[in-house]
Amino acid sequence: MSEHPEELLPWYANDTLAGEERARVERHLAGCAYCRAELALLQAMRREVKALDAAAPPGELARARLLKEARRSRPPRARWMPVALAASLALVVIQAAVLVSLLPRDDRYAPLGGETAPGVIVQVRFAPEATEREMRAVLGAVNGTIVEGPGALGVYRVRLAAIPPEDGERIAAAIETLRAAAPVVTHVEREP
Amino acid sequence: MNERDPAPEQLIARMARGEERALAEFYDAYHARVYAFALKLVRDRADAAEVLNEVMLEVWRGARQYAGRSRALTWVFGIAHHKAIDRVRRRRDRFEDDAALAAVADDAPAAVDVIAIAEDRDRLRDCLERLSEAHRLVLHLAFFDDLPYPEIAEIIGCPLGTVKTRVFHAKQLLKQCLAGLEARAPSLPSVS
Repeated sequence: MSEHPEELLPWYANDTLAGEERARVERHLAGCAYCRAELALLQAMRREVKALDAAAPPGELARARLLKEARRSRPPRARWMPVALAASLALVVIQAAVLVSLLPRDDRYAPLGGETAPGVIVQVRFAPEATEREMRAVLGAVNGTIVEGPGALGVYRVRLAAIPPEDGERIAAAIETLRAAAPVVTHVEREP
Repeated sequence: MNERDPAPEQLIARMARGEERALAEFYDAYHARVYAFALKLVRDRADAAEVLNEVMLEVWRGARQYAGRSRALTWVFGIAHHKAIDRVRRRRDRFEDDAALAAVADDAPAAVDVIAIAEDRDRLRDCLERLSEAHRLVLHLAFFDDLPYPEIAEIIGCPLGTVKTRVFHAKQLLKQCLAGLEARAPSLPSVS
């Protein structure tokens, strides 16, 4: 590498260089066409990285899941906090419930009977490497139909059409069947 | 994230007092950046969402241990780096030898010779995508998150000089690609 301050130019380009390093780069740039071109290329790279790396983050389901899990693993808290925390917890629970209820439904996966079809909904997540064939086998074992998904976390909403909501024993058995399908199935939870 | 978002240090201090609302606010302000960073490493949307969830829980659980020795976001990105690496390790058994990163040809053209080619965004994007994961990761932190090099070194746990030379090498490789020389570094499969 030459005396050109090339290793500092990226941080001049992202505007985080300060003090003597910044002054040194600016002094050099004023008299060096080579480095001005290098800087122009770095600025073009920065613009493209910003466009290329922008990713749509997970949606509200992920947020609701996080807050739910956070409630189960709360950090130690001060003794005077319980009442205030209980109130905020209630708020978060309500928010989570509202968020879940507002989740958009995807008609592409609705069963022919429509959303009003009877049955219990469970949330199922499959392993990333699970094949469609394995997923179909698992769903077939519980007579389940995908009605939505996958969400950002890979969660599918699955309707167990043959089981009435009040039949807790059969629901538990179906959930047990799904859980036994690990590692194809990584998570099963009855939707409230 | 925008300028009206509360400072991450303040939110973490509130989390340390057990305020769940602070976690929700922290998530709203920073989840997109953490997710984009995680996605850069794990390269799978579902895995990146899992990493995001794990990071946010770790921040929540560890808020009391955050000692303020580094900027809060540096601490958070450091957690994300560890979590993402763990997840990649579970998927693969190969990790790059950092020495391989130095095996970059020194005969890259000057930027002035390729800057006109870089105006073709498709070409520039194609060349960025051809870089190794380690190169793209450091470019992400430098140009997507606009972090100073000392913070990047702290996040990925390597010396300051390594961060600077890694971006320099990324630029050299990019110039070679733009010039059609295709003298890419030897297979640099993973992260560091």
